[in-house]
Amino acid sequence: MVRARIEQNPIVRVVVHTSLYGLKLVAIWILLRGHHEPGGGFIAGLLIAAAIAMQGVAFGADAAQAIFPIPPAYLLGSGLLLSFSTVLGPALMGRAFMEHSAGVIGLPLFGDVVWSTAVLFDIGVFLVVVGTMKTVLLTIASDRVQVRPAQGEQDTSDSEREVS
Amino acid sequence: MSNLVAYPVLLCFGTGILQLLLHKRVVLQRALALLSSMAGIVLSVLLTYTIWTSGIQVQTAGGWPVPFGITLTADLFSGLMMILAAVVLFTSVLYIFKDMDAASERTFFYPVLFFMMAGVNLSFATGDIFNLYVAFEVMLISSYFLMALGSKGPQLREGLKYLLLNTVASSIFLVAVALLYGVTSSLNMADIAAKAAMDPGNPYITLAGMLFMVVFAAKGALFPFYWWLPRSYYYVPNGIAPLFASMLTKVGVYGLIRVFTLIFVHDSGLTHSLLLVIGGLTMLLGVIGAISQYDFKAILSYHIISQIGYMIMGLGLYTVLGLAGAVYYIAHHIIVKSGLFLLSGATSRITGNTDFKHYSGLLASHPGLAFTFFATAISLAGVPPFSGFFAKFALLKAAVEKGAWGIAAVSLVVSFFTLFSMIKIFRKAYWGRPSGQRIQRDRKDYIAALSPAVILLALSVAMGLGGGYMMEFALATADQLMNPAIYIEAVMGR
Repeated sequence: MVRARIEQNPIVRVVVHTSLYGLKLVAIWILLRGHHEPGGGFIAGLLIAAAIAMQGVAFGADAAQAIFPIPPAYLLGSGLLLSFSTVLGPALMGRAFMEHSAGVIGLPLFGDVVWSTAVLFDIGVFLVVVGTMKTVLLTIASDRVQVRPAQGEQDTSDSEREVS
Repeated sequence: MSNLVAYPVLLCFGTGILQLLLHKRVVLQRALALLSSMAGIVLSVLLTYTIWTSGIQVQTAGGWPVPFGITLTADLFSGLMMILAAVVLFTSVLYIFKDMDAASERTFFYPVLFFMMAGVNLSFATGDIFNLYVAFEVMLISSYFLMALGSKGPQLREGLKYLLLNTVASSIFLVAVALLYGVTSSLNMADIAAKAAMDPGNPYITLAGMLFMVVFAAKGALFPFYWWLPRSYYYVPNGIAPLFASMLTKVGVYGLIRVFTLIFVHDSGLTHSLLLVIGGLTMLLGVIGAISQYDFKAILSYHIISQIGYMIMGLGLYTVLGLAGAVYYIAHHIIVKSGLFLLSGATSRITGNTDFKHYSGLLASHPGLAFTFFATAISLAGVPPFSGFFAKFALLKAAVEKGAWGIAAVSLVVSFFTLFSMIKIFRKAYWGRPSGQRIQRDRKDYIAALSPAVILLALSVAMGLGGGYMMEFALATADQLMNPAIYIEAVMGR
């Protein structure tokens, strides 16, 4: 089995373990710089998905589950709810739906920071993408790896059985 | 300038999200589904009333100025379609409570159902051609899920065909949108229409029109792209079959009517004559398919095709009366066809089957069911005082006024065959000596499964008895459709 061999490979494990921190940081940076500069929730979500995939390859599906350890359906749902609230909110406040606000706020240490409600929308998108990719990856990972039966041996594993 | 036009879409979407978060609590999901579908009726009626009293409603996402922001635009036609979608959703939800199997209900059924309805409502509300594509995709992706729910062999087989056809059609849709954008450098439908009107002889616009015709013909099950429909709808679970049968193909028809009354109106000698021929072939071949079937649900599935032909006939005639007939017919069809599918579901709950070989003679034991079916069926065939008569009458009158004798003759023949195959269902399933197995259920269950269909039948009767009011509404709708300038002015001239 290919996967088992990679999991035992110390080089892969060390490389993945160290690069994960960088990957997560870059994801957050891209998430927050979106809207005004290239970036945004979608790409950041994909980066986290890449982190989940790498973690899964190097340490197995259980370790992959530990990144954002919330069931994917809730990740998806809460992301959608967050984005949706920025769509509906302005409408309830008497403005056009999906209308976003922005401004500048002075923070200690950071100086003047531009805030925007579009960031909330982006965080929602981020959660949706992570939730979706996590569902996809974990579903693939939970499939039993098919081992070709030796000659003359009958294979009766569940995954081989035809859907009736 | 109000958000009212967006609310039916947002309502469905919000409901879906809450149901997704509550996906382990089926009871709460059901309560949300019921409340939201009732609220949907109220909102869509309110929207249509506002359009009726104060004109076409326009709103852009984020409040951006018009050709740049994504526009939501609802005229009377959109409003009517939203009301119909809400009514069918409400009755389907009532029936789903009775008939959906518990395993499916727990498998994200309700969230996906409401996401699909969000897509349907967005298709009706949008005034942006690319947004229309997005709405179609939202609707279709959810419908792939619902069609395969339960994962039975034939469902997956037919679902794959449905998926392939729609994916190909969506790609052509994108190409057509790109072509239109290349010619007019706009995606806003009103803006495109205004620019197309300035350059009426442009062959690229006609080419884009033909591409759109192929796309919507594939999604709306028109000749020659209807082959996917009868078999795939046959395997859709009974609870959602009414929604599929009455709403999804009609979204294709809506798209066709929208673009061929707003944008592609400058070469109507070619496009609308072609639509008339396609409409005639669709209704004829659909009904021939239906009379060859020997199964309740299969006959109904073929009839969807045949009735789409009538709607396209109204569009192809391209007169105010013709379009009014088409609008009336769409309203009638959506109500009656979902009623018939609900009745086929209610019948198969008693017999466990929809194939006439396995049962007959339900009239003696279940007269309520049998007579509800009979009334709904003759409404479909076009017998007064039900809604079908007035819809067909308007279409026929429009055809005669225009001197299109061929299509008039075809539509009469098809009506006759429709009556014939409805009588066939009645004779095989309800009449005759009782035979075949019966699943014993208590009376309350039987009434609960039947009542959604009775609601729809009552609506069909109301639309027939109040034919004058309905016709007035349909004529006003058709008047708006025939004058794209009103639509363009409402969107652009603010």
